[in-house]
Amino acid sequence: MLKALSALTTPLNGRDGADGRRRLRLSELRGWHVVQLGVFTGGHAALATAVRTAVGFELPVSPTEATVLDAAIVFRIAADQYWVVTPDPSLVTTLALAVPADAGTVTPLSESRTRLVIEGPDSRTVLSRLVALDLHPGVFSIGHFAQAGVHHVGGLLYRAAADRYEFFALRTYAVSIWEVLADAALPIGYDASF
Amino acid sequence: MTASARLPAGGRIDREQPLSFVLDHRLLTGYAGDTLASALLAQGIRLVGRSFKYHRPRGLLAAGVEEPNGLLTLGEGGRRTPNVPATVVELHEGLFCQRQNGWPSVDFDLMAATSWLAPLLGAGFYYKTFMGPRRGSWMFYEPFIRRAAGLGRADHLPDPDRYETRHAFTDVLVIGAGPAGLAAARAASRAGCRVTLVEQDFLLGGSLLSAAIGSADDILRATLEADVAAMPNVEVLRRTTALGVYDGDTVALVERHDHARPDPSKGEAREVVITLRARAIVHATGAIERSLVFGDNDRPGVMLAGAVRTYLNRYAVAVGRQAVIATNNDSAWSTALDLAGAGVGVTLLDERIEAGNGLADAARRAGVDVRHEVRLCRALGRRAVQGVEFARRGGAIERRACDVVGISGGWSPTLHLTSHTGSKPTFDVGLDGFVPGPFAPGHYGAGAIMGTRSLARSLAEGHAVGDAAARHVGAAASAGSAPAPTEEAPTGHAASPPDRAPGRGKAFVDFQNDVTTRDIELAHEEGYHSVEHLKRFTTLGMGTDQGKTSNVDAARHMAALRGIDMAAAGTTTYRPPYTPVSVGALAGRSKGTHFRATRRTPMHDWHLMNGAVMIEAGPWLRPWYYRWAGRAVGSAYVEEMRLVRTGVGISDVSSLGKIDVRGPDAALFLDRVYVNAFAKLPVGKARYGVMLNDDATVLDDGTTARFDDNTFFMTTTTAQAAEVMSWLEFLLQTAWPELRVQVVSVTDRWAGMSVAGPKAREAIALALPGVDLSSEALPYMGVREFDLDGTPVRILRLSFSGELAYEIYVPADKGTSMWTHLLEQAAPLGMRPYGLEALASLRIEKGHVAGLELDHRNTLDDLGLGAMASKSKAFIGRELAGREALKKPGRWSLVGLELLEPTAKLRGGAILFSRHDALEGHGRGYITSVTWSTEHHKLIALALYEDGRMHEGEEILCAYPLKNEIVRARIVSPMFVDPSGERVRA
Repeated sequence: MLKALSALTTPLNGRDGADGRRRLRLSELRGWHVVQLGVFTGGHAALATAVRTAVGFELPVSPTEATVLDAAIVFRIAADQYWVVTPDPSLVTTLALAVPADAGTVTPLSESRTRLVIEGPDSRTVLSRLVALDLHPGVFSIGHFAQAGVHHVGGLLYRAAADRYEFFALRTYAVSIWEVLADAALPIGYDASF
Repeated sequence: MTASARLPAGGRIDREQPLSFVLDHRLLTGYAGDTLASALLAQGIRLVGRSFKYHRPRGLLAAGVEEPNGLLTLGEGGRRTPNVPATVVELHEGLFCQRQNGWPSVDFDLMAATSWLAPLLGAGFYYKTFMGPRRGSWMFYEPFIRRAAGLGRADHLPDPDRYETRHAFTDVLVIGAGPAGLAAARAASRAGCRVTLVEQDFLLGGSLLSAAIGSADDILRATLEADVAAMPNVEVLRRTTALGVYDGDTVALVERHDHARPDPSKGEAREVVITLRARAIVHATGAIERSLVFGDNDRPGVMLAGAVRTYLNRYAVAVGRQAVIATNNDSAWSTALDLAGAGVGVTLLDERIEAGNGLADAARRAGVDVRHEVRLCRALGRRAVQGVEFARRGGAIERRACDVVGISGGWSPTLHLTSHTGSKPTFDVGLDGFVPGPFAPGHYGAGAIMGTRSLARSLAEGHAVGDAAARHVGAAASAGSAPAPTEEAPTGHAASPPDRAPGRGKAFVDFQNDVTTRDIELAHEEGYHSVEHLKRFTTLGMGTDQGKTSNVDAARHMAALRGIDMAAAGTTTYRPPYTPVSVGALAGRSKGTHFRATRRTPMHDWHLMNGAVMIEAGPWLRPWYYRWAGRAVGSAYVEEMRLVRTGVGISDVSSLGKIDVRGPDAALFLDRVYVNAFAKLPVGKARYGVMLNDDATVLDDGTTARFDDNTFFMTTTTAQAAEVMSWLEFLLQTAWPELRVQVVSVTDRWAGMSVAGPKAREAIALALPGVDLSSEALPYMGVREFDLDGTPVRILRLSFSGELAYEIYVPADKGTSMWTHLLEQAAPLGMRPYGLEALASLRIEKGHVAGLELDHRNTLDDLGLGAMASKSKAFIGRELAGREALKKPGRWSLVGLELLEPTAKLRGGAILFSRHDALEGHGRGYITSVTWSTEHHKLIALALYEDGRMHEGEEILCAYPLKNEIVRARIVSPMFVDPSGERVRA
């Protein structure tokens, strides 16, 4: 039986900020899965129907607003691509069986991303040091997501709640991004866990 | 040093907060609210430095960023920062500073003897004099010249401070918090916009800060600041300079925190560079006062009139007791009036026949001695001004004793940032200065930058453009009414072009670079007429101040010499940064371990814990070699190679690019991408493929496996993974959108490990006993995917090393577990890990091309792969592969080399010559890759050589000029081991 290991294996201790407080919580969210749906030209309706029938949710139209259904989140990451993020491992198989081969594709990607969580009243402040995105609440509202570059590495940033952002980092860059995230949070102070 | 110049009351300083600072190891005091400049002046310190070239004594000229003289070195050790204008340094406790460019001291500078040589040191002197006697002589002289002339010195110690960068966004950016900027921010915020107000000073108010405390202007400033502070949608950034405006209305800002003495150990940044993206920009950057040009106008105590007023009212420093104010415009009259009000004796010299707005009456009432139609001829004194000579046109020279001279040659709008946007300055005759040209959409200007000198008009303009900017970004709410002054100060400009009087002494135009009117005349005589040429010839407008007080005067002088008007003379091109910025701030936190992101394979930590010495390979951190094989790479990699050639080793190949190619048309797509056929690749098989750029040079190679009818697993080289992925996406989105194919990078999803060597099958069999690894079940280039206790495992029987080998892929999170499982189970066979050096060397022995040969310059034929190209199908690059240049004789082609001199070395990059060639020029090719061959017990290499294959067996010369080496080698087949491929099929 092979044992699963996160990309983040070295514990990171929290740190007080310049004012002695810790106004952030940095963590890795584990126990989730992601599958990428691809749509062929002309296959959108068939794919959408298949997904609706199999798992009961509509594919989002917006390229910036995620659809949340129960514990699943669906992102339209490109005109012809979606991510379904779910804690339910069976959903991956369900989708793979449901999507017609001539409409689109289903590619499991669960192990390819590390899901970093930045929480706290200063989460926007620390993210402003990392991503070139306007995170003003009036612009980047709850449920909003965008492809963003952190440390010149692409990833998906998702605003899960008022003071909670999630960054889906490429697994092989996860340690580097975690380190630069912690460094950016240094003056603010943070608790860390994964 | 003289007595304190601090007034007993007034100013925007906090007398309850005295601050100590050190100048040239002397402990001094000032107050919170002081700048370093005002604190020095308050202490009676006039002499702040020595001039760049002539080492003339210099005092402060200005009170802001335009200061050319008062450059000091701040801090010590790694924090040492030279050439900082004292006028922009907010005084803080413990500030350590030194004056510059004097030896042994600024007060007693022996280098001032340079002044005696002044007649020889005109513009261009160094360029002309130090060119010989031979080519390159300048390189010898330059260090000495730079040591004698110049500014402060930086330190080579690491900077211990922390610097930060961040991104910001706003609807309306207002640059400058003077009256126009405050009014604009007020209007735009009232209209409902997100507003960012940027001010380089630590206080808001701009020119209003120079008004006396309690005056109408002071009250107005407080009201405007309160209005802005009350708006929750306004972010005010003090101590922040807009350095440059770039495409897309992106503005670079630098925010300074020196005053707060940031602690880097707590993560506090000394400076923060902000990349701000605005939807509209209001330029309210004000104007900079110009000097007057007359003899010895650089004597300490000769200052801009506006600066004299600022020091008086803002900092409560009377810089003299007897003042002469000389001007060609109305603004300096306010200085005269305020000085007189503070009890300073004032003589006012106005070049004009009369001043406007009843100023003459006010001056008379204040006791100011006013003289019209007179011009300054010369300043008297040496280390401090002691008087002036002035005269009417054609009249006799008169003298007046004084200890401060306030001069005003008019005002130059601060249009540097608008120029960054491409708005070419235009000359305004009425203003006698350049103003911004037409703005780009979404850009607005208000106040002094537009040439407006009236406070009421500045406020109205600010309000109007704030409102317009708000409309531009779609705001609908009302901006309300514009603020208005309770009384209008007499600041009508009414300038006339300054009229230079004849007089003795050097007349400086550019103080910082010691450029005089005579230098400009010399430039003209030598044909450097354009302002750009003038700048390069004389250095005028260079340096830390970039000629903020001198550019217009220089252009005026040159225009007069050429007999053209100012509009035709123009300005030099203003480029970012507006004021100097430290390199540390630009780098931010991107240094050391955070210089760039690094990429780790899933087994990274295992490698570190098990003796791997890591190496950077692009962004990847990969095991270079393992200590089990040796303490140095030179011996370790050979040992690791030997293990693979004789037993079995395991290598981490997770960095290979991996792309999931999926869909009913996937096979067709690959058939078009690769030069060889893939359409009929059977399920369960892999094939080596080469793809070309559309110009027919080789893009990349790799192996693609088919796991079912619609699913392919492509591997690419580590180096080209991203490029290949982009290329495939590009083709599907533009060339063949009709194909039912999706490509997804799965590089991060799969951990990869290569088990290679004659015992590879045995090793895997020990670890995965249920898997049939026989050649019948898994032949060479066969692939299988199976489930191992719920984990998908892919095995591809491929070989990069030339030995029997398998690549095993598991999901990345199981990578370490599979790796250790394989090693533990195969331990009886002696399996150990091998690193990148051995991996790369094994492939050289086998003659496989890699990144060093796949450099986008070589064709299939060049690399000996021409036979792979299908003749029966189309593929990318096929049409252009037939180009004459790609087929002509003499092209490089891949060859092997073996060293013929046992004690010598082959080196990558060595230039290759035939034995009969003269050893010069680019030779006939070069060595791409070198290794020690464990098979042949000698150094071997892959190389590119003209018509290489035709020269097999020939002895050639390998020249390595960097080490002055020439060695003999023989051209052989690039396949050094197992050319028939028996091992890989074992």
